[in-house]
Amino acid sequence: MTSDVGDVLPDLLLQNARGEEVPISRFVDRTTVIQCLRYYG
Amino acid sequence: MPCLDYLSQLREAYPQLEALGAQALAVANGAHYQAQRLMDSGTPFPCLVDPERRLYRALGIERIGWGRFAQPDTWRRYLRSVGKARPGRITGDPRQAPGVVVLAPDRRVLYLHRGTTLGDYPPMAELIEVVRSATRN
Repeated sequence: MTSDVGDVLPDLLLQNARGEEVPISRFVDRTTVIQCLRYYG
Repeated sequence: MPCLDYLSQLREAYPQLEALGAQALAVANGAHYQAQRLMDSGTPFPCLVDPERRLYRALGIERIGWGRFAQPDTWRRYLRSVGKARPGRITGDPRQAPGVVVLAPDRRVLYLHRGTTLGDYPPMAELIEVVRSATRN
């Protein structure tokens, strides 16, 4: 799937900083800005 | 580093986003310890890891092509950010392009910026305006 404005993003599994899988819906309970980036350091 | 520079801008804008009723997340396909370090160093929102690039694929945020990688503006963006965010070890896919998405509570995509090269992010003022419009309704 490739989302465009208006599409509904599927409830993807991501990982928290401890490596546990967490559905993205758990973090999106209001308008949410997500930066997709690369971590450094 | 362009990504950390933009993350720093997002951190600065966060009180404004919260005042508008919004929140933020950072997602990367790098290492867990780096996400933890960012949160430990004061990032006021969750930093998540996407090792299989599920979010990137769902949003259509692709890898930076070699041709685009070699263009001068890619390196201009990189060099502009060097003084603003400390360089460090890159983990995950070094050619992964960046992006920004604004989601409604039902995960409807309200705004999507697909970066095509390093540091290709929208102006923060534009993002705040998107959130302002979304939360006004």
